[in-house]
Amino acid sequence: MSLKRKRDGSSASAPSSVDAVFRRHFEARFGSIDLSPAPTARENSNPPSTTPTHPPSDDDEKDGSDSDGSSWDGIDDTPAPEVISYDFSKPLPPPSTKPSTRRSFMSSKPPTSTSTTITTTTPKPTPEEAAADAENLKHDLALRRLLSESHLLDNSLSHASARHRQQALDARIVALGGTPLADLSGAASRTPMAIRQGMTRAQDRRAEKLRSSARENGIVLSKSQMKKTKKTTTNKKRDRGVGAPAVGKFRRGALILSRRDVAGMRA
Amino acid sequence: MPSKQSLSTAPQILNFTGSASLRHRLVQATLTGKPIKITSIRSTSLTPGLLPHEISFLRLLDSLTNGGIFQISETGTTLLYKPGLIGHTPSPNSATSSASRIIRHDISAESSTRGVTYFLEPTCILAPFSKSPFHVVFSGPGCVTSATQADYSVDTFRTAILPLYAHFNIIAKLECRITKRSCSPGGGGEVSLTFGHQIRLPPTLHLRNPGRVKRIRGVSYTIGVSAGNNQRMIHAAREVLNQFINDIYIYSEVVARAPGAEGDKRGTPGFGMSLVATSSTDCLYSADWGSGSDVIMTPEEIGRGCALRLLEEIAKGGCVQRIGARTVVSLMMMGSEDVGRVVLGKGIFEEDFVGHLRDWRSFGCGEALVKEWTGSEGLAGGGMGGMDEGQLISLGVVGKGVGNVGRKVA
Repeated sequence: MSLKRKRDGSSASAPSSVDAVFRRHFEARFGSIDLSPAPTARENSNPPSTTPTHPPSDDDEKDGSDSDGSSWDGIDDTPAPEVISYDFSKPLPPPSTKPSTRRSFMSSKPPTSTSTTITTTTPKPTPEEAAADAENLKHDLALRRLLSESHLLDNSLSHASARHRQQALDARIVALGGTPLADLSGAASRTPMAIRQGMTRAQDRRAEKLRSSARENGIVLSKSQMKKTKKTTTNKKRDRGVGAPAVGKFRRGALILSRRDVAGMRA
Repeated sequence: MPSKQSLSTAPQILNFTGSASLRHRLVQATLTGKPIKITSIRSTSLTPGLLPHEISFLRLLDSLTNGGIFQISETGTTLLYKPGLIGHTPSPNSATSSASRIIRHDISAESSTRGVTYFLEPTCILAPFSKSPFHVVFSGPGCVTSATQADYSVDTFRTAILPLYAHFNIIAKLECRITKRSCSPGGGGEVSLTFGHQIRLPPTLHLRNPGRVKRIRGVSYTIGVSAGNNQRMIHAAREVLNQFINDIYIYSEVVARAPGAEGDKRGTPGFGMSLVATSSTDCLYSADWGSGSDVIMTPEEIGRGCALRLLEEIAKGGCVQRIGARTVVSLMMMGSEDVGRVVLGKGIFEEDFVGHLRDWRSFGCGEALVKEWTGSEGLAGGGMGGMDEGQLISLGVVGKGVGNVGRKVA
């Protein structure tokens, strides 16, 4: 045992001498180090020329001659045992039991093995940490916006233009689930409903005409042209909710029937 | 000639002698469906024959099963039992009402030396193998809910024995409600038991890691005495236990007036405590102590004694404690033809537990293999981290796959 330890010590001394060289160099540049030397650095006190050349047989002899162990410094290198003592005099606060777990124990059912959660209070962040957190969050948001809108910044100078600013704003609104501004205030929103319906109907008619003429002449159209515009089915029964009248409109405490409703009931 | 033929077709009657573990032999006979004959029951005693609580248990067994035959000799020293099917059939004229499903078991005053858990434990062993759910209400002047000299309390039964069935996936519709608490000599309590989880075959059990104790719960109860006794008991118990673990909670139950045996009369006052320690792997250790009429004890003595008993029970180690071992072994024996293992403390292997295992073998049901448990096979830490070296025994049980006869087709 002692032999093994001695060997370890001698082998460890070689890198420690290198450490000493580094240390001297460091201290020459930056001033002396106040730290207490590390456990392995204690070997430095020995002259580096003697320690690495110790053959193991020599050590054995040395151990045999010094029986009282005064110069047996093999065990000195091992760090002192760390003593951990638990203080049982003051018990920890009991883990908080929820009322539900209390009830479950005292109910007539056999108690289930639900684990009681030991609540540990997280330390409150200091004001500086909180400020740093807020700053980081702000930077994070800015970075994410930059990444999502970077396709608008193809030309390095164009991002300042009003058009690109508006596009970026629109993209943000859509990302948040809103309606794009163009739909709210553009030409489409200003056209009256009846005229807009007429426009779409005319578009459909024109597209249908194109398709039928192409079919007759044996022309294959592109897929986008072949596609029919989706027609909303108007004759589908509307879900009116509970209590609403199936016929007519209920307004101000009176059921108002239009001419068409009456005709529908007569038929 | 015809009599000879009937003899040959009838199952062979198993013979036992003595009054030891009579209750569990009857349960074993009922589970396996084999008739038994028990002779020389207390034949040399001054009170020969069956005792009142044993007779009461036979009555309970009669109401829990269908078509069983009990023959008791004149002196009561010989009992012949031919078991019927487990499951209560209500009388046909009141079959529609749900109240008829409830079995009411009235315990006479003479059998109040034993707690009601004397009846509860075997009832629950039979219940998973029944045709129909069990609803049993125990009441009467002999119904003692608190701990007695020989039996643990109903609180311990509910918190430490009923959870054992969870190891066999019997979880649903288990309920044990103490409607009236009572103390030893007087009785007059009431306990209702619902066991609504019937199974075909209990699964093979492997319990090998006892874990470390993580929490202690308990109930302290006073019946007809000052509620301050609860605080004294709890304080004394915590003085012992607080140095080991911090997750302790002991509930207190106060009954202002002890239930009387007859209308007006007051019943016996008393108090007691039941403690249950749960380990990290859901193994349970429990202890119980109640006040008795023969030795007068202070609440401090009861609380401290109960805590020390709990520590003793924990020190024995193993995955199942002494009072739960028979329940677990019985369910394992009824299980499938596979080797189930459970690690028990050496302290559990007493004479009557080994006798219980031998009884199972004589019923031709299952095989038990006992060997010393040296650490854990692939389990992290042997429970106490090597402290319980040489303290544990691994009990392997090979079931016979009998299971629930009433539920063969399902």
